[in-house]
Amino acid sequence: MIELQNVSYEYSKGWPRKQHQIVLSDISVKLCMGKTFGLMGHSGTGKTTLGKIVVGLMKSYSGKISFHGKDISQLKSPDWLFFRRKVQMLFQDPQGSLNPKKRIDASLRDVLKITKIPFNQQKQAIEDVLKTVGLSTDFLLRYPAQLSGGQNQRISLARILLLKPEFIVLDEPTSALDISVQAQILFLLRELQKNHGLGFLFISHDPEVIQYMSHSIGILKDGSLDIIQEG
Amino acid sequence: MSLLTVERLNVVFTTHQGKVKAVKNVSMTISHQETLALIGETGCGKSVIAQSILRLLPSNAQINGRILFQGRDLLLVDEKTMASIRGKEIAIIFQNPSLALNPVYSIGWQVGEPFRIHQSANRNQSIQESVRLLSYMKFDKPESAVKMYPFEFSGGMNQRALIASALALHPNLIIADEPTQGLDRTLIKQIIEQLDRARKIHSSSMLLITHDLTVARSISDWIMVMYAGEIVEQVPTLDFFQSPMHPYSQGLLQSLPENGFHPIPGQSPSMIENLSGCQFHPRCQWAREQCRWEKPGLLPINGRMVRCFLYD
Repeated sequence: MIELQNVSYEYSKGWPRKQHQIVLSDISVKLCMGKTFGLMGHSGTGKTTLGKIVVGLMKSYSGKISFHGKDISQLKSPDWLFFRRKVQMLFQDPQGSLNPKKRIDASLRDVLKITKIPFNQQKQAIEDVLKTVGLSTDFLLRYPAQLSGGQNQRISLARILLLKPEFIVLDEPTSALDISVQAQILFLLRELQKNHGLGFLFISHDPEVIQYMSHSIGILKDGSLDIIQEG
Repeated sequence: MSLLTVERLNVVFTTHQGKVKAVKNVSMTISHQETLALIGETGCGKSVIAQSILRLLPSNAQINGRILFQGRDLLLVDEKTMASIRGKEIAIIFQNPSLALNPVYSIGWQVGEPFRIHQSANRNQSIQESVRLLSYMKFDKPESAVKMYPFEFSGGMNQRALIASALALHPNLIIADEPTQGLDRTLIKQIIEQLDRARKIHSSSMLLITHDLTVARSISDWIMVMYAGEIVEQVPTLDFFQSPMHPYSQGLLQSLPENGFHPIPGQSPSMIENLSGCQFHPRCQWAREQCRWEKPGLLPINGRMVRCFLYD
């Protein structure tokens, strides 16, 4: 479980006098494995900022975030590396998430190299993960620009799944996709949650998508989080 | 009377991987003051049609067919004439407003650009026109908005600025390429209302490219469904939502939230490889042997056009 206790965050901008803008104020919420927490709110309310804080991409917050009971700000390697692998983020723009100069095969192998999977096991791991996300191995020799938005989003998801995560922050994963591809990705995410017990923080501004995907729902407004549905 | 007629348009891109057949034999007509919504999956060729009309495609594109705008074939006119048509007679609103605007020029400078190019307005006149257009698009303080830069605006504000610029010279045809992509629901409603209001006041026609069926339903007169570079159904908007005929159109409606997000199984075919028969047959639950080998034609059925052997 990931628990946020009184998490606040402010941006500072301007020079020479810095102006401070509070984006998140006193956010407390429990994010459970195997469940989806839907996070809604208008553009610019700090939804993505909260997602990045949860996965450890932004560190200058105040408050406490614990992963399996341990404060993540106190984690040292190898515990920090373990946390970064187990808590992943899927971004909104699928094409921008992948290196345009690398073939899909190389993008997937990069993940396996980092996790020190032996070369002779990499092929099987890639075949398995592609099967999980519903793609064939024909895609391996292509570049991201040769794939559709939905296919790139599946590849981004495959890269995450190679790390065997426990929790994924999904930042508007379907807002750049067509209605039919959106339905495919949502179906895939629900299947993954059912089969692997993954926890999701699902960020979206689409109330229907949030309602369909989430067990609990919160709305970010003026920096505060209102929980409107608990499950 | 038709404003724009596209006849047997084919667009092929030559790439290192092979020839990408992005648009295959597409014909369509947009009448005066009519809105045609072009819907379909990403990569099915919707934006390529828009860019073909304005001749904005890269040099590796081969275009065949005819694009008749007010009687002139846009594929045959010289570049100088084409430049005078762009922005004045046909305007385009690009998807991704943050990328369509130049980050180093102020909003006022960019919104007023059509006045400087087509009407030889000076800097002050174009900025004044920008203030007028931004107030028309319901910006709170248009005088200060013209001095701001795209990064200081939200996505929705940038999109409204782009719409203002596109409508500046009252074009006869507006091409809106995914004008609401990535915006939240409240903004989508606002933007579509403003776009439709402006279109009606100036009696413009519109080619709306979208994958948001709610947007298409709210403002279009006709819907044209594309799949893998081909038109599979062309139908009045109300009829599309009441009784879609092509299996892909039916699948699209089943993917809507109100119908439970039921996905269409499988993936759309590669535009490089030649798939025989109907392009949708590998994903179609009604596919039969004939669909695998024979390409269906676009058949007129009850006031619509459908490309499917089910109605042969």
